[in-house]
Amino acid sequence: MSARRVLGWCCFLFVALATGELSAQEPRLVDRVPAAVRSQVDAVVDSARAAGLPAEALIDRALEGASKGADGQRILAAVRRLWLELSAARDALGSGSTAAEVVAGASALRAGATGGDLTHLRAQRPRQSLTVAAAVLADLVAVGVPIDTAVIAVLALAEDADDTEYIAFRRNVERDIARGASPVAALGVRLDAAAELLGTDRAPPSPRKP
Amino acid sequence: MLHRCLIAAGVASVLGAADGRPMAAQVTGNLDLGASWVDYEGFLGSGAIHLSPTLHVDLTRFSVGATGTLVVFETGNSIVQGLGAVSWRTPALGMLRGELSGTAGANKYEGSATFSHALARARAHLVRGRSGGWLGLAAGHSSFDATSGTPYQLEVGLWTVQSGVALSGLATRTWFEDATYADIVGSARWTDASLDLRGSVGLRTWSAAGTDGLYGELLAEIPIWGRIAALVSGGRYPPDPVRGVLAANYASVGVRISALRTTQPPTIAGLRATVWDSVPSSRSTIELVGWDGGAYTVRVQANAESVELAADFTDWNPLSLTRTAADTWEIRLPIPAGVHRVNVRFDGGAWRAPGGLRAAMDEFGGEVGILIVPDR
Repeated sequence: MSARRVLGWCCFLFVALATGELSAQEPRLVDRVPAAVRSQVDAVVDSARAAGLPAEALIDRALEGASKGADGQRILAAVRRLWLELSAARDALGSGSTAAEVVAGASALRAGATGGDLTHLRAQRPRQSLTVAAAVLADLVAVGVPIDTAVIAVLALAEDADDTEYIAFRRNVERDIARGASPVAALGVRLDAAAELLGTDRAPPSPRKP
Repeated sequence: MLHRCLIAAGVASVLGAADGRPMAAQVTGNLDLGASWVDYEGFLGSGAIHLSPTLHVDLTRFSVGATGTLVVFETGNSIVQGLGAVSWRTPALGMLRGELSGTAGANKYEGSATFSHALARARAHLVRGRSGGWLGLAAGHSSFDATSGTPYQLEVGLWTVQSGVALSGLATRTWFEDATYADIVGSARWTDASLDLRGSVGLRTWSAAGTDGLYGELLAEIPIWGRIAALVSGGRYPPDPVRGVLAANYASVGVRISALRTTQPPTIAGLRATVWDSVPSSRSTIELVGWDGGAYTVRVQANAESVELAADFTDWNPLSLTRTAADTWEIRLPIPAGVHRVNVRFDGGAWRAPGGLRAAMDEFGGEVGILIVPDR
């Protein structure tokens, strides 16, 4: 665990254990999130800011729960879970990651990617945004592509594909699956086509047993 | 295999329609158990075991049935699928007879989203002696995750029963989103006291975004003792995008236990699906168009009287969209690059993930669409 993450955890625990009276009130949450948990949500948001995590994502998640009529405890649980995912994603992607990258990385972690996968993706794509690549990784897993195969595909495109090509790749895979192709077959075909388009020489992922 | 069952049922349906004599209510229940080797397109071949209970109720003009299948592969992964079917046949009008039928089903592979479908079908049969033909039309709904569409199918068939052998030919043309294809299938069935043998050979052709090629299947049911029969089958079936079935080669052995049989079955028992399902009419798609450097136009296609959108980029405040054309609704919003969570609702209904986006569970008991906005 990195020193930064330890520090983040300390901030989180300290602020979360406080009653909330020490936390600044997030104005967007006032009159939206149930008063019974608002101070605790404020505390988590404060701890995120202190740890350098994208606090806006936590506020958005609380507002989403409130707008859907969720009870306070459910909102608080969702915000706390996201805090942990953001922290893990930022650790994997590096401290120089943008807020959008960390949010997308958290989405990929929830889909089943590991911190090591994200770190590898960063190494493959050091100068380009990882936001779309990480989000596409999560999307591929959601449509039935096994996580290890999805990681291989996203990494295979990492050096050469831009965001538009990533999105087109994901859309084509999803369309093939909807037509009846297996997720792995669709991925292989589309990866082949993308590699040809990009002028790279990437082998499609090997098929596996169902 | 579900696809094989559907082909066989198609033949049976036609021949059942030809059988004009009154038939007592017949209830049959089977349990199939077996082991298979299956080679799905895109996967390595694998051993599997399967379990498949089936229940049919056939009346003179009405049939209903359901079947479920659990397939467990070597890896421990599994497929679960279910299919319900109902069929109603009109009284004979001279040589003509009508049939309304439908199927609804779903299947799910380990860790993947669920395919589901509902198809309604109308057929006009022409029956003359022990031969006949039919013309049919089908339409319905098919969905996979957030992707859904309306399949249409046109079919023409011929059949005859000669010397105890039933022969049929079926040509279908299917339109489903941007995939279109035709299938031409010939089937035969021969039955006596010691063997029930069924076979089919088909050609998938005139395919746009489909898969051309030959396929065929063979199934033998051999009575062993009492209510137990041996099943041996094998062959290849094509992909079925409407029902979410992958193309595969397979070979299978197993037993069929006839757990329930209230009457003697007719020579060829018929069942063909059939139900007008309560398919949601509010299919929608969402897309971003018209970025002008500061904002996107969010366009939703939906058959509704009002459309609202709530997302993280609206602070989860519902915003009403403006109708710009029939079934087209728009709103201009500043949306930063990144991954966003979006819901829409139609006519004040429940919030849902808009079509065209990946749907995810939202932790609040519902679902949310995930929108990816690239850097500009």
